[in-house]
Amino acid sequence: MGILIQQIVNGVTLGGMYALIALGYTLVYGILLMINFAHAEMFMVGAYIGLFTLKFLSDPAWGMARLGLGPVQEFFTGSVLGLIIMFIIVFIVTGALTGLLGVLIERVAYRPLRNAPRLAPLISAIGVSIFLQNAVLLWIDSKPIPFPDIFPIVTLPYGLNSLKIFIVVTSIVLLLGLDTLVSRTKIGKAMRATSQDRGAAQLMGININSVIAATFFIGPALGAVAGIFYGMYYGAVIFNMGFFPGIKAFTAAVLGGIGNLRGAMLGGFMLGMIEALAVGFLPAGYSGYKDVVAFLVLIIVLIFRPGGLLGESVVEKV
Amino acid sequence: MKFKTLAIVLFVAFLAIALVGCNGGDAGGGDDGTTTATGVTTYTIGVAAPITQGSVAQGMDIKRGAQLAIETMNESEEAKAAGVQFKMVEGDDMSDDKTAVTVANTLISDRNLIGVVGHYNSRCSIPASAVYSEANVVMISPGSTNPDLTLQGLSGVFRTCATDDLQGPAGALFALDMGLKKAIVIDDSDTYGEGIADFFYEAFEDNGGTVLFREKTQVAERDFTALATKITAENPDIVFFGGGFETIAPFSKQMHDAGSSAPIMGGDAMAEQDYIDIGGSSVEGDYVTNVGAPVEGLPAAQDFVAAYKARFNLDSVGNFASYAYDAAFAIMKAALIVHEETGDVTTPAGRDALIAEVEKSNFEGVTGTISFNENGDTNNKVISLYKVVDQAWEFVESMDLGAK
Amino acid sequence: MEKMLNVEHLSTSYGKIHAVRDISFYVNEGEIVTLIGANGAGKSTTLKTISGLIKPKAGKIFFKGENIAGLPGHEVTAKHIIQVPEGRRIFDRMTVMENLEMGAYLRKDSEGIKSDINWVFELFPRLSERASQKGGTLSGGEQQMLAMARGLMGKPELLMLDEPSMGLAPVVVETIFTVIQKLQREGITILLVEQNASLALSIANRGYVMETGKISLTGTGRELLANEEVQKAYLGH
Repeated sequence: MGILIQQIVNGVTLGGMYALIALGYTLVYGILLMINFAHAEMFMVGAYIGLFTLKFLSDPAWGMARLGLGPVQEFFTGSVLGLIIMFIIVFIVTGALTGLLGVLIERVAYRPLRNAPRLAPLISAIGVSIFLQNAVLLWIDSKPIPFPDIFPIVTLPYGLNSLKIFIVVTSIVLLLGLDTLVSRTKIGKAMRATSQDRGAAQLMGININSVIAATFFIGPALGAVAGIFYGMYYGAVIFNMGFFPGIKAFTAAVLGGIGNLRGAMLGGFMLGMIEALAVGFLPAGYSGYKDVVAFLVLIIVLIFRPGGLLGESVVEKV
Repeated sequence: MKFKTLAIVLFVAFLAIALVGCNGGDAGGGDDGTTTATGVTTYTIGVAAPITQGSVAQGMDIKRGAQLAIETMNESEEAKAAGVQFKMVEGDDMSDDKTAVTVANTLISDRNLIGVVGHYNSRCSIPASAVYSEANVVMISPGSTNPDLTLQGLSGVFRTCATDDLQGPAGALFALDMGLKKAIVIDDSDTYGEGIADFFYEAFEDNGGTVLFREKTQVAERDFTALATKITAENPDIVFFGGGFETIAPFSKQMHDAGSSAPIMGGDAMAEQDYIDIGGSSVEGDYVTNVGAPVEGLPAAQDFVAAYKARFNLDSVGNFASYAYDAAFAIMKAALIVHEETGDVTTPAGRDALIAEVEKSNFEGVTGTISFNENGDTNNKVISLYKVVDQAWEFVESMDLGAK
Repeated sequence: MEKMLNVEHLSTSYGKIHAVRDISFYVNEGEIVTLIGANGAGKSTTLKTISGLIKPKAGKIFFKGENIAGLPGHEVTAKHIIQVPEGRRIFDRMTVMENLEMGAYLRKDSEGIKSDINWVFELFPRLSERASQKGGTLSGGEQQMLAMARGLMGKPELLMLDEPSMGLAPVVVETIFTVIQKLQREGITILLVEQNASLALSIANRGYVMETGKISLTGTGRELLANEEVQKAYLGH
């Protein structure tokens, strides 16, 4: 029983990260009907930006002290309140910068191809993906960079610890926030309208380019948060770290019904749980088959619900 | 229209990056012609390793190690007296077997190429070795530890690192000596990881230990939380993981988070300072086996470590840099002798002589005495055990498997 | 009367096909003007070009004296030129109320929006009954009403209706055309594209006949109704 709970905890934590990344795929797909292959790299770049922001704020060898802000740094690393404020700053700065990068990429690599055949932006996305990986590889480092081990880890029963709780709670808060944004706010409604009928949305006076830019801001910003979690949880970031989580999150988006926000969230958590429980309960020596189990579930779901769990006309699509 | 301009700018940027990537490692040296007017002969040494994809961290170490060796040799009195300079040409195999064969074919098309330091991954070295052997080019792998590489009966294929069939069993014997009787064995499904894990498994069971179970994962996998929970519940004495430091470090961290106190053990690919930097306090007490006696004990290695850090502005020396350094020296030392005797290493006779001379290698390298057996494997069969103590690899003991 | 909309030498093409070739026409303030013609004559393309969904190849479109040719769709809408598109194109997965809110996307006067919602519910009482239903669940006639109501939420000065009667039962068509006339009386200028030429001409002040991308005939609604060629070609006499 204890083990089962532990595996569920593992699955939910992993699922939270998948869900955050999956949203980026699903948002863009919902609006442009395009699979943004570069999204996995936005997650990776976000992790690096998060790493450097965190180092800048917390590492005595970096920036702050030299700028004469030593006391501020001591406040950040020396008290619980300081830590909380510092992490909030890290998330906001990282989310904003990664979001802006997403907007820039859309502007440069996708918008010129908006009316081109559908394969063109796909290839462009792959190009962006290779570009970002190589940029990080050549300009930063080829080796994994350790993530500052600054989050205070308090171990709790059932495999729980403060970091896992932090990841899951933050993910859920962000997911609920996005859900509210899309269903209640003006820009959210504009996003929904654009995804349903781009031409009609334009006739309502919606600036399609702004809506698409907003989409390309939000997706990478959430991906960046997942990137920071990844760094804190697994201890390091590396230029090719986007690959696995990217594929998994894309799978999660498809599982939940690509284009559907709540579907991406559901798919993310489901996939995380399936993986954890598969490892936990496959016979010893067979846990390498967890991905097989995950994809088997995906195939079965797609056979019975080709649009995914919440796909097409079941619940609101963006 | 402005998008077209932008596209062109981006494309040029891409090209620029690609070119920087290609030229970054050029060690300089003379022109392409074998002998210049000044009477200096330039030979090409190929370095084949993953540079942009795959095991990039180790690949870059190899490239830097070989580069430093070539630069050191070019500056040496030995080389100057002989009128010989060496030039490095790099090939990026991206840890992919098919790319490795392409790289091998590209490298041998340079008629001044006399030897290659590479490849890293066993899955790349094995197919590429056939190409080099066919072209009578010496190949010395600094990192491929799968025994099959030198068992193919190809001439001119060597390695400076010990094979998995030594490291795996040595790890098992070290563990059992410490009274760790129950093990769980994991590998990353790569040729290297799988091989070393198999050898550990066999030796551990043969010598009275019990392997509770064997798991497989993947090189790029980083989430081991579920696996860690499962392993912790089995309460093993030790977990052996065949794979690279970048995979094992997060595993060890997650084992620690799952409440396990069993140490993790791995092979040379885990023996990096980065392992400790990533794993932090979680990896305290983990073990690693490595080839040769501790580098710190050898004066030559001290100099190497200092020179390496200064040359590349780095804080630490990756393990494979030293194997690559020794591999490059083995080729260059032999080449100087052959050049002295025949005047040209690139003739068929010169190439045969070079292979024979590398076989006869016997010098003090930075990883110990460099000499090869009849298969081309290093005779350096000393395997050492290291442990993470206070965030550093601390030497525990050595074992000479050659003596047994 | 002042020309509210004045289209001069407008050409538009889809790829290599010239859908609209050098047409000129105008709409006076307060008028109902109709464009009639066969399928593919270029009527819808003309409307889409005015509303900014398609970029013109050449020509000018003056709205209250200002050239709006080539402006993006949302900026045209901001000038209160509102198109109710062919095939309704309501937001299927939004409720009737949300659809109306989207129509008022550019407006900031929440009081005015509220009173306009009441106004369109008076025009189309059926919609008020369906306020919380998803757009996709409405009947064809209700969807057309919603599309018009949604357009009205943007406070149109010029309302462009694209085939409002298409696929609808005669009773519903009648309702819709009654509303169109009512809107004219409330001061909204209307540019109407219709395949049902007799119906369109019967309520229009003036009309233009389009043939293969060009304007072939023009006159008042009555003149065109009485024209022999028009009768032969479009009125089925």
